[in-house]
Amino acid sequence: MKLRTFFFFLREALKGLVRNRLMTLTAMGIITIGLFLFGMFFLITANFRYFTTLAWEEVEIRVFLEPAARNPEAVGHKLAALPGVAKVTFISKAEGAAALERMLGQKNLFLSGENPLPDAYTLKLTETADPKEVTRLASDIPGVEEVVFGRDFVEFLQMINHFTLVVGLIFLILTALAVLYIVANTIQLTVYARRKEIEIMKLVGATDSFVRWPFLLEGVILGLLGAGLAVFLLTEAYAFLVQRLGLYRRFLPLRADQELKVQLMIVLFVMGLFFGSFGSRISLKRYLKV
Amino acid sequence: MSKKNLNIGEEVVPLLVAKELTKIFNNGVVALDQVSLSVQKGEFVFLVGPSGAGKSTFLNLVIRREVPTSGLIKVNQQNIALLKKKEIAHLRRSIGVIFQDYKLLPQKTVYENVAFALEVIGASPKEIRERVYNVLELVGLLNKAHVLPSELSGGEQQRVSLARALVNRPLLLLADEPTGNLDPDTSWEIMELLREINRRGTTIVMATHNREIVDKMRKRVIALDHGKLVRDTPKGGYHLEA
Ligand SMILES: Nc1ncnc2c1ncn2[C@@H]1O[C@H](COP(=O)(O)OP(=O)(O)OP(=O)(O)O)[C@@H](O)[C@H]1O
Ligand SMILES: [Mg+2]
Repeated sequence: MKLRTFFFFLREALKGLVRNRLMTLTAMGIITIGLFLFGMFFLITANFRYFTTLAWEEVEIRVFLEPAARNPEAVGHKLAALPGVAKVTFISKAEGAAALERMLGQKNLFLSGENPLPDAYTLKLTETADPKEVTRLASDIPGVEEVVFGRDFVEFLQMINHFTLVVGLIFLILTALAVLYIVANTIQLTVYARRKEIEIMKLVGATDSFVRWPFLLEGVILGLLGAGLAVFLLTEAYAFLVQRLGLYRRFLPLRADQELKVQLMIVLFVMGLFFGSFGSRISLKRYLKV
Repeated sequence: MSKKNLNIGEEVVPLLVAKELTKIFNNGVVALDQVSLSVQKGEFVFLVGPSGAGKSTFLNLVIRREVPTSGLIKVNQQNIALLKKKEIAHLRRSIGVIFQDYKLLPQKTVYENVAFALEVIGASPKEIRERVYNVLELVGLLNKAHVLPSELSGGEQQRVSLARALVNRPLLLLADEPTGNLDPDTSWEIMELLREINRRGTTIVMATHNREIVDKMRKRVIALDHGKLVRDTPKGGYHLEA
């Protein structure tokens, strides 16, 4: 396309937006609301995933060694080499006893010679690890007596994780479809208001794509403006929420990193672009049949 | 006949041909019934007939606003029914149309309305300016160039729509009752313009009810009635002379 033609389209698009001010504001408002909702679900999903990863980090597997194990270090190396193991910490029987005494609030629980606790390792897992598999492999290592982990807690976490992923995705898709539907209908109104113009363009020999371009640009401009506004409102609201809930961050840790903000912006702008252009394309179809 | 054949080439090939052209609308109305005719380059043809005879339908078939139910319609040897989308756009650029309801864009000035037809085909700004002012001069609207259609009289609006039809320098000009809503004097102004344009080489097909104009112009007359071609007379009048 020639640059001049592009500017002609852009001028027509801007004229259209200014001329149909009310429609423009309505469409933009609806895109903003839709993208705001979409962004909200996006943030909720992201935070849920964040909670579960935080909880995951708390998951530990304890590996108790046989009392007679001759070479605890070798076992440690083998454990560290297992798939899914992020970190291995050695807890000697003395440390185990000290921890137990601290927990029970009682001193000198055992005489130093008769400490019945075995040497042990605690394992931290990577995000994608399968605790059951790690447990099974760890039990097979010679010198390991018993492997213990909070099976119920882990399974609960895994369930929550899947659940948020699926529910989050469904919600995101549903809001996306709803927004697309509303946007297409709103643009349909602006197209309807200008059906005579479209008819005349076609009758004097305009090609479909020539007719489509200004509307496409209008849609894109609307989408981007709506996205910009939604990003602004959401980040402000979210920052406020994070600040207000700062007190409770031990119980309700919220993601407040820059990366999330950038992701949110990218997602909303891409959606806005998509809604605007796709919405105008769908709405035009009928009126191009002249 | 033999004389014509000696005159080899373009003169012999008609600009517009219809063969057994039939249009039946979805509601069952037979708007055109087996109409056959041909129009040579440079002709001025009146299409007459009572309301509902099928005149507008015929013009709509020429610019492919409608598709024939059966039969054939050709412009410049192109079968209109077989055109692809892009080709339809190009066909329309070579045909100027004056619509009975003008079809002007109310938010655009006279100048912009006419320029629109050139912008649509991607003409350069310089070319657009030159051609638009030329054609506005031709139809006598230079002094109203930057006025909105709503501020014009019916005859002036009709002339804007004529200017837009002409600005692409079409081979063929279709006019659907261009004097429909005009008083006799204004009608004659429009007719003078059309006659002048025809003299400069543009083929014109004009649908009309206006008996006085048809009778005075003494051009070819094609009469339709209930979708049938009932008469085709060179230099005829609105009715068959006794
Ligand atoms: N889109 C359509 N759908 C159904 N019927 C139609 C359609 N367009 C026209 N007709 C019918 O076809 C017939 C011919 O209509 P057309 O408009 O061609 O007549 P006309 O000769 O132009 O009449 P007028 O002089 O009143 O303009 C009429 O009976 C009309 O009702
Ligand atoms: Mg008609």
